[in-house]
Amino acid sequence: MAEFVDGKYFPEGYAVPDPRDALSRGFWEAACEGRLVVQQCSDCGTVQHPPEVLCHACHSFDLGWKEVSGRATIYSFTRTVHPANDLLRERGPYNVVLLQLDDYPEVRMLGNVLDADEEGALAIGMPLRVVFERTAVDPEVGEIVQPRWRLAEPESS
Amino acid sequence: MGENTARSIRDKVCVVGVGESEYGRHGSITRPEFQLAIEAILAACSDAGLDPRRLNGFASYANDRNDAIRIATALGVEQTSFNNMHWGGGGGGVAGSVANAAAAIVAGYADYVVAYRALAQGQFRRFGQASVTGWSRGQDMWRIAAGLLTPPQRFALPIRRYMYEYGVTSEHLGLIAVASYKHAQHNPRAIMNGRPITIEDHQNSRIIADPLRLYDCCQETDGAAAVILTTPERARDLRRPLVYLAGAAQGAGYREGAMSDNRPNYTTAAFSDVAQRLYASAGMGPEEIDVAQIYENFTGLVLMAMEDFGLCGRGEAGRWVEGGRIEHRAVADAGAPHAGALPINTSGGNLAEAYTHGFELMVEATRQLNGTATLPVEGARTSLLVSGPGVAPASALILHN
Repeated sequence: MAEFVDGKYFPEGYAVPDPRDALSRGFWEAACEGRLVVQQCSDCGTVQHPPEVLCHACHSFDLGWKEVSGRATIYSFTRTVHPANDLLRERGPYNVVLLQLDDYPEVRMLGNVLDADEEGALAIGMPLRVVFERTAVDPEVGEIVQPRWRLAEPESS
Repeated sequence: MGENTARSIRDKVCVVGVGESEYGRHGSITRPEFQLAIEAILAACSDAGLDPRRLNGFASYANDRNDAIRIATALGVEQTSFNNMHWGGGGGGVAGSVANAAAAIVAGYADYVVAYRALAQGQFRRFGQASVTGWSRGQDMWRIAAGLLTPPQRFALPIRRYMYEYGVTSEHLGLIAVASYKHAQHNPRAIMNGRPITIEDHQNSRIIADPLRLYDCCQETDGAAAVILTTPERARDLRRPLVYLAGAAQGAGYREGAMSDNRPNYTTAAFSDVAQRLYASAGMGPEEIDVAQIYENFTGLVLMAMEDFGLCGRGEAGRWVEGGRIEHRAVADAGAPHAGALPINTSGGNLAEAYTHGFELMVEATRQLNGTATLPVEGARTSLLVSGPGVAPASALILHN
C-alpha cells in the first residue's frame, strides 16, 4: 500500500513540476495513484530516467512506463546549508539524495528523505522506500503528487 | 591513430597574446560587462603587439552575452570571417573555444582569432543563487523537484560518492584550495591577493552543501579575459616568444551528459574520453606535463580530473596532492617532500584569482610558457589546461614552447 503524506518538503511558493509536461506526464499521473514508474522501451526493454523522446539503446520511439517497487538505496547525498534563495533560507537546511532503484540499479533518481534534515542523518548505502507527497491542487491541472522517500528497514532475508 | 595524428592540430597555431580586465568581487566593478570584454581583448592585442582592427575571428563559450559582431563593430575591425560559440552552459568550453579558434586558423577561415569570456556576476546573476517559482518543466524539472539548484549543491553529489569510494577526505579537498590561495599571494591581479588561507581556515570554513565548504567553491566575481591566436608564421612577427598549441580535445563520452546524475562513470570528472583524445592529439602523455591549470569549480572535481588525465592513478589523487606536490616550490612548506613536482593553478585560478568562467586559467597556461607568469615554473616546456570537470561537453588542451 502506497503511503501518501500531506506535509510538503519545500515551502509554499517553491516551484512545482508541471504534470502536463509532455515527456514526463506518465510519471506524474502514476504518482497521483501512488505508483513509482520509470520510462521503459516497449521494443528492447531498456529503462531510462529521466524520460527522453526515444530509447537511447535501440532508438525506438515506442516507450511506456514500468512500475518499480519503490525500494532504493542511497548512492550519494548532500545536506544543503547555504540557501539558494530567501524562501529556502527560511526553510533551513534540507537534504538531496541520489538513489539507485533496487529494481534497476543502473537507474538513478534525485530525491529527498523525509525527517532526515539534521546533520548525520544520512549515509551512503541506507535503504529507502518511496512515499507520495500531495504537493498541490491546481484548479485547472488537478492534483500534483511527488515521490519523496523515507529511511527503510533493511529487507529481512 | 595514425590518421588521427596526421590530422592533428599540433604546432599549427600559436597563442600570441593574453589579457584581462580588472578583476573584482561580484558587484564591485560598475563598468558594463561588455566594456570588460573589450578591455580584456585590447589588453591581449597589446600584449601580442597586434592592431585590434586586424582581428577577424571571435570564439567564446557558455552563451557569453558579449556578441562577437558587437565587439567587431565596436573595435572597427576591417572584416570578421569566423564567429563561433561552444555549446554548454558551464566552464567546459574554455579550451574548447580556444580549440575552435585554432581550427578556424588551420582551416583558413581567419588569421587572428580572439577567444574570450566576460562574466560580471554582479551585473546579472550570482551563480550561487537561484530563484525557482511557478511550474518547472523539461530537463531541469527533476533536479528542481529535489531542490538541487546551485552548482555546489549539484556537484556535492559526485564529490561525496568519489570521497566515499576512495577514502578521500575534506583535508585532501582543502589542499587544492590552499595551493590556489598560496599562488595568488604572488599575483597582484588576484582578488585573494593579500588574503592567504591555511588548511585550518579551510576546515573551519562554513558548509555550503555538505561535503563542500566555502573554500571548496569558486568565487563569484566580475571580470573578463582573452587570448589571441594566429599561425606560427604570423606569430614570429609579433612580440612574445612562441607558444604553440600542442593538442586539444573537447566533447563527452558515452552518456556523460545524462541528466539526474545518470552518467555511468560517476566518480570521474567525465574526462575519460577527452583526456585520451587530448594526449593522442598532442602526441605526448601525462608524464610530460610540467605545469597544469585545472578548472576549480569545486576542489573535489580537481582531484577527480587529475585522475582522468592520468597525472596520478585512479583513486589516488587525495594522497597524491599531499606533501606540496601541486604547490610551486616557492610557496611550499619548508621540507615538503614533493614540493613543486607538478604545480597547478599557479595564478590562483577560479578559487583565488578570479572566476572568468575559467578563462583566466587559459591566460595563465600561456604565461607559464612565454616568461610572463607571476610565479613561473622554472624550465616549463608544456602546460596543460583542463576546463569544466564534471560537465559535458568539456575540453582540454596542451601548450608547449
